[in-house]
Amino acid sequence: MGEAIKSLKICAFCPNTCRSSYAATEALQIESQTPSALSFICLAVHQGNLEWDQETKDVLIRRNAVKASVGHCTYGLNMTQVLDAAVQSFNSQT
Amino acid sequence: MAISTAVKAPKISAKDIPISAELSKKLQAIIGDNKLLLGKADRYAYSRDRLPHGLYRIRAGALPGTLPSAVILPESTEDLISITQFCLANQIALIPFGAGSGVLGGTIPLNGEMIIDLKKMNRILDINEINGTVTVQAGMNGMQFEEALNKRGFTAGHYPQSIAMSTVGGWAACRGAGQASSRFGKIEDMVLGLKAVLPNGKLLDVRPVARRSVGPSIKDILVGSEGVFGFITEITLRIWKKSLLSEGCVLAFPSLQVGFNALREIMQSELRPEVIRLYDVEESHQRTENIAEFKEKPILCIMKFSGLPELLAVEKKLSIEIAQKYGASLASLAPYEHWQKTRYQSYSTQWQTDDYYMDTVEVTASWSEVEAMYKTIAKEVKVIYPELHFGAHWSHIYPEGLCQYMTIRLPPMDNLQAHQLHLQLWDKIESICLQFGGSIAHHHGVGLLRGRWMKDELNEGMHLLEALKLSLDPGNLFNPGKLGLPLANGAHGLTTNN
Repeated sequence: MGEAIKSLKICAFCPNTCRSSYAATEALQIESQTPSALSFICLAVHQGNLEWDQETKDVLIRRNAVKASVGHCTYGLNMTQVLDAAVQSFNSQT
Repeated sequence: MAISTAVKAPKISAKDIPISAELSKKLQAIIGDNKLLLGKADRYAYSRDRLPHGLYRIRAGALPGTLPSAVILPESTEDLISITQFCLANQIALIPFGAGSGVLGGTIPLNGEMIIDLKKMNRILDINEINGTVTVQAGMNGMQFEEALNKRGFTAGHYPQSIAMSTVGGWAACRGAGQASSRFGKIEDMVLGLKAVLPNGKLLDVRPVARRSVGPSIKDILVGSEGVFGFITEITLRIWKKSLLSEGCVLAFPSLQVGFNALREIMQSELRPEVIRLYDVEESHQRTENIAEFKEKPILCIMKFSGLPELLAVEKKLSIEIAQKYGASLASLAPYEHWQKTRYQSYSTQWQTDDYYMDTVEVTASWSEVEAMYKTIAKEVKVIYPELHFGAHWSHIYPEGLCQYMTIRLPPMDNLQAHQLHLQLWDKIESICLQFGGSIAHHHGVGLLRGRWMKDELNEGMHLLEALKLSLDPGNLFNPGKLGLPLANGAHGLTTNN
C-alpha cells in the first residue's frame, strides 16, 4: 500500500493535468470522477476521514475518466492500477 | 485582520451539513435526473480547489472549509436559472465550480454552500469567422476549446499554464492571463460579450460588439467577479487566425536591471513578441546550468515570435537588436525548447507530495518600481525565514509594467509553524507590492486568501463592490466571503476577517 499511497498523493495534489484527455461528453466531466478526485477520496478513506461504505465504493467504481487518463499522466502513473490496489487494500481491511 | 490557522478545527463529520431530504426532493423535481450529487464522497471531492494553504490543511487532516451540502450539475443556462430561483426562494448559498484549478480558494465552501459544477455546459455554440469571434459555454475545458478552434484555423491566443486543467469560464471568473498575454492581452481584453445568471435569478446578456460607449463596462463587472455578482454561462471571445509559423530565441543578460530596460524598450517600441520571459538569478540558474553563455551573463530571457513571416522576421530582428544594445548575447535554444515542452505542466504537485510548503504569488509592478520592489521582497522574505526558497520571473510584459511571478517554498516542518510562516510571507509580499504602487494580483484572482488586502488595493473602490454586492445579492447567496466581501454567517475553516 505504501507505493500506492505515494501515487495517490501525487495524483490527489495534481490539478488533473490529464483533464483534457477526457472526452467532452457530459458524464465524464463531473469533478468527483476525475483521477485526482478519486485519489483524494481514497486518501480520505486511508486517513479515516471518509467511511469505506457502499456510497464511497460506488463513487470509486466510476472510472471512465480514470481510464481515459491512462497514457496522459504527467507523472507516468497508471491510476486505474493504483486505485484498484487501494480498493483491494480497503476491502481486505473490512 | 487575521486568518484562522487552526488546522484541527473542521473535521468533516462535525461540519457536514447535507441538504435536507425535503429540499433535495424538490430540487430533483425541478432539475431532473442525474444532475444532483448528495453522497459524502462526491461532496468531499468538491471541498477543495488548488489553494496551497487549503492543501496544507488537508495534509494536516483538516478541510479548507466545509463539505458542500450538495453538488448540482446543470446542463444549460435554463437549468441554472431554475436552480438559482429555487435557492433564492430557500436562501441556499451557491458556489460556481469549473475545474477547481484556482489557487486562491475561490470555490471553497465555508458554510455548506451548494456547488454548481458547470462542466456539463461544455460546448462551442458558434464560431463567427466574419467577425472573428467564438461563443462558448463556461464549462468547456480550456485545451479542448483551443484545439477545437485550431481545427478551424483559429486561436483564442489564451494559453495559461493551466490550459488543460481549467475551463473557459474559470479564465473569465478570475480575470486570468495566458502565456501569450504580451501579444494577445489578458482574458479581459479578449471577452467581447457574455451571459450570466444573476443572484436574482435573471439572465444578464452583454451582447458581443467590438466597442460601445454606454457607460461603464457591464461585462467587466462579471469578468473577475469570481461568481460573487453572477455565474457566467456563456462567453464570446475574440479569435485570431492561427499562425503556422513561430520561432524562439534565448538571450543571456548580464543583469536583471538591463533585462528590464530591454524588455521595456521592446514593448514600448510597439513590437509584439508572443512570449517574453525574464528570470531572476535563482530561476535562471535552474534552467541554464552548463550552458556557456550564462556563466558571465546569468539572466535568462526567452522570447517567442509568431505571425505572418514578414512580420515575424522583423519583430524578431528588432527585438534581438534592442536586447543586444543592452548587453544580451544570443544563447543555446535548450531553455526555450524545455519551456515549450513543459509549459502546461504543474510544478507544485511534487513539492506538495513531499511535504514542502510551496506557493506562488503574482503581482503587477510598474517599470519604474519593479527592480526596487523585487529586491525588497527578495530581502524581506528571507528575514521571515532565511532558508526559504524564493525565485521570480516576469512573463506578462506590457508597455507600462509587468507581472512579477514569485515562487516561495518552505521545507517540511511542523504544520502549524508552516501555516503561520506562509501567511506571514504572503502578508509581507502583498504589503511591499502595495508600498511600491503595484497591484496585489495580476491573474490568479482574489478568492479567499487575498480578501484581506482588497481594501488596501481598491480603497474607495471596495465600497463600490460592497454596495453592488448588497444590491444584487442582499442574502449573500452567491459565493459568499470571496473577493474580500462579507462571509456568510457561521462560516468556518480557512476564513478571513473580511
